[in-house]
Amino acid sequence: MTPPLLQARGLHVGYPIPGGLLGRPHLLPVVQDITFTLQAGQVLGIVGESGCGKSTLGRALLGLIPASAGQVLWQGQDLATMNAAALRRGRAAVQIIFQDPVAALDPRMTVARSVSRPLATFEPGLSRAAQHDRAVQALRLVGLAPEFAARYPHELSGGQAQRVGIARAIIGGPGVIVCDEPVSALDVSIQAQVVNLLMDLRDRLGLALVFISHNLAVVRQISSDVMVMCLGRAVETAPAPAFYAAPRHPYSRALMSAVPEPDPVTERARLGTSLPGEMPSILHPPPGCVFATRCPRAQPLCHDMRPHLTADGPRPVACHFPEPS
Amino acid sequence: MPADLPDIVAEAPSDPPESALAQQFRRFRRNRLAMAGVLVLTLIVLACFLGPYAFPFTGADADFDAIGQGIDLFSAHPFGTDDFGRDLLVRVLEGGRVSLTIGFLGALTAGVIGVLYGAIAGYAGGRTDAWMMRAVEVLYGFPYVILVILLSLLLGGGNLALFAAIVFTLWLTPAVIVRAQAQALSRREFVEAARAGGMTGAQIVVTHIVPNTLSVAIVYGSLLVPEVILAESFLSFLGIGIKEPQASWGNLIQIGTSAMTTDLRLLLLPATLLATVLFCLNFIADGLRDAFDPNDR
Amino acid sequence: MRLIPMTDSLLSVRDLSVRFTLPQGTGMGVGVAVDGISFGVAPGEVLGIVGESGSGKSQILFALMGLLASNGRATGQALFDGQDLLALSAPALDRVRGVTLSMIFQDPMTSLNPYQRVGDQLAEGLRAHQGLSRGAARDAAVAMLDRVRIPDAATRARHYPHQFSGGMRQRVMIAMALLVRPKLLLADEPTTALDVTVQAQVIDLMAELAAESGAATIFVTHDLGVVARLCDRVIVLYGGRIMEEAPATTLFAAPRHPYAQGLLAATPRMATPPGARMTTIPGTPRSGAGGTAGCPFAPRCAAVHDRCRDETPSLRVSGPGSRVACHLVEGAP
Repeated sequence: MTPPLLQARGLHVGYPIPGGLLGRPHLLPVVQDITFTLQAGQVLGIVGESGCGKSTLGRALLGLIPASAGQVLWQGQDLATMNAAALRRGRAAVQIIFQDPVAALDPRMTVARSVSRPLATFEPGLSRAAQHDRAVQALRLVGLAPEFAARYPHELSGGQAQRVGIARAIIGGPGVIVCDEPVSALDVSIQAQVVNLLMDLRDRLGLALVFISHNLAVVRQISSDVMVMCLGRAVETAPAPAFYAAPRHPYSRALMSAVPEPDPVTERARLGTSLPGEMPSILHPPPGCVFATRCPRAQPLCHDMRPHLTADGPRPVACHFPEPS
Repeated sequence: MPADLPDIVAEAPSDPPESALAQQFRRFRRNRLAMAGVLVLTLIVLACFLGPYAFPFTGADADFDAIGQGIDLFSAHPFGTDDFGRDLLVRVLEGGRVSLTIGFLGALTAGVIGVLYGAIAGYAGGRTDAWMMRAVEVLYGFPYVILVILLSLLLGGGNLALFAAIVFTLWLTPAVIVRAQAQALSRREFVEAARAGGMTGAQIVVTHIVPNTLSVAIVYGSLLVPEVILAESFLSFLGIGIKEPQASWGNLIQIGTSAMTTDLRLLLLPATLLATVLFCLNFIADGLRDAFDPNDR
Repeated sequence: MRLIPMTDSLLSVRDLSVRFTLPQGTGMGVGVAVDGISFGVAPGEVLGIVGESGSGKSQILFALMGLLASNGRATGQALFDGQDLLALSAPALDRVRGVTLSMIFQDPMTSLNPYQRVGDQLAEGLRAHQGLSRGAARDAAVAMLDRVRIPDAATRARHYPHQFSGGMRQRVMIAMALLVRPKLLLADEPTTALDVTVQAQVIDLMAELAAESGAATIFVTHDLGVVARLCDRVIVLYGGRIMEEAPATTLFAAPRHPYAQGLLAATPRMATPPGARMTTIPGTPRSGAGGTAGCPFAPRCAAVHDRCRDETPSLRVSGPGSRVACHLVEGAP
């Protein structure tokens, strides 16, 4: 039984906060207790708003930020047990694409150089010419003509730059790509192109994807499973079809009704139904449920006691009063 | 490898690909004042390094027949001689060689040291950065002249020691500037991407950080050259720099200043050349700053 | 060609073009961001202008407010409240801006002065334009903060912008814009930088306040969903030209222009079957008008004919309150 491509077990990530003149630095928890498994061909959509920790989680899955507790496993191997050299070589298997595609490219490097540079680490011994050829191949796979190889990032549009980022991510033959809001900064007509490209590559290369986004509609197109995050915790996880048919957590429902759809009839009906208030700050997390201050179904219990992700069946949800599955 | 993915419909602009650096240098070339500065500076550099060969004598040769001769453009000594009969023009040009060499080499050395130091500190962050910058702050606190004298003595006096001492005090500012730039760069996504691509910290500093601080380094580096020349001139003026009989603009100006009331010629030529070079360098630095302005990107 | 009677319009824009002189050496002399558009806004209505990057949508608002960059020039006519905004002198424009014409911007982080208390920034406009006393202006500011649902308005008025979250800052901007009771509010992508649930709140707020104050709104965005929620009428912009204009219900139910159709089809929605490939528009959005003849959308249009590349289609009436600029759509000449 091959181990899953990517696994998180009770993953916690914290940011060190300086402790002042004499105090010791303490850890601000940004991601708390995340657990999931990812197999080839799966796409896990991680949804949440700013401050929910999804980007931090993405980076922790890549080992770019160290975990403060719990484990990240690449094909069964715990990142923390890998020495630095093994980790660097192992990065070929788990890659990332970023939200700002142009900023993700070194402005001083040509496209070909940016795309082929990882090969110097993953496949040392390749000649420069061979690296260049691989780069052109990768560009072709993402739908870019060879003429793009000599271009510079400032000469690319957002969509083209994102394709270059994807080419760079796939050049080492990864099994998993973490996509951190990959289409949020792109025009609508280009978003669709890039999402289609990711789906094509998932099928063609047998990839697994972690698709981080705040847009539930885009996540729905591509994901096989969904995890909703709120203030560092997972409040609901479910297979995508079940999730979208009937979300259990009140926050999931709120997110769904908040995403504006291009349909005036449904949208006009939603006017005036927005959720009041704002998320509490991660610096001062409430003692009870993080969503209690905004939840339309909140009871006194919700403010006092934080609900845990129930493990009952295939629809775990962290809520005292969830919708029935 | 399957190849049935569609090509992009629209190609990038049909102009040939142009790196940002090439674009910036193109902008620089459009700046007339800066280009004039480059021209004049080049002429002066050529004059200082090649000019003396046009004369049958050197700046050390004393022509006892023509002591204290005034300016006579058509004579063998166009700008006259000094009290020892040495031709002024040749001495100034030879002095220019020394001053300009120390200036450019010193700026280059201080720049390279500063850029590397700043890039490492800025990328490393945390305690490493804190300690590295503490060291810089301590060095900043030393009185400049005393530091140079001490170093000069420590390294045994002589021109090389002087050179080392000047560089040692001047690398600090590029380091601080590049460190700030490196910090900002380290937070950019392409550096994260490099880490995700398995590059080590050292590789990232050399491949990604340093080249992207180049524009800042070039701009401030071009300001370093006049600083080094001035530093050398100042020290030579004080008598702790280049010593007689070797000429440098600094000690020539020193001689000229003491003879100012009697014979203005001795001061005028080296001072004018020094001032011109400093003007040119400043125009060039201005032009570089405008060309490399990050807001214009 | 006059198509829709604009005599009772609050704002009547005719043949507006915005051009930028680009620096030498980039190979382009003049960039055209907006290419001869005409439209009107009725009192109290919410008009949405939808476009992708490079469509020129924000430049329209900047031209109306006189906020174009120094190398930009606007030509044409923009009749507002009996005056041509594009022809006003600077002092005359100052008497309109912040008085009868207000604007809110996209980035709530940079739209407020970080060194001034929020309440003071609000009160400033009132004191400058309406001559209110310090106390009266302060009270009005606090009342407005309360109206935009900032909790603890009186205390919050004394806070600085960095003490507010993004959503709250945007509400403060809305408060500032509506405090002066403008007749027309220009909104440049005010919700783009906000979280989804916060965006919903801000949209609700804007709908509520617009109805209450009777101000007309021009809402610029790239998000068709937001347009569906908030706008009465929609203009679809591409390459600096209007592709289609229609009441919101008509546009979403039956878009006529291929670009509008493509945009609608490419917008992900909950109803589309998951796992299927999304409908796309091939190519890259055109940046500005090229100044060349032909439809700006021709390079990307699936239904393109030769005529589309040679002849720029003009905006023709295609239904009640609707206009389309496309050779392939039958319309009244």
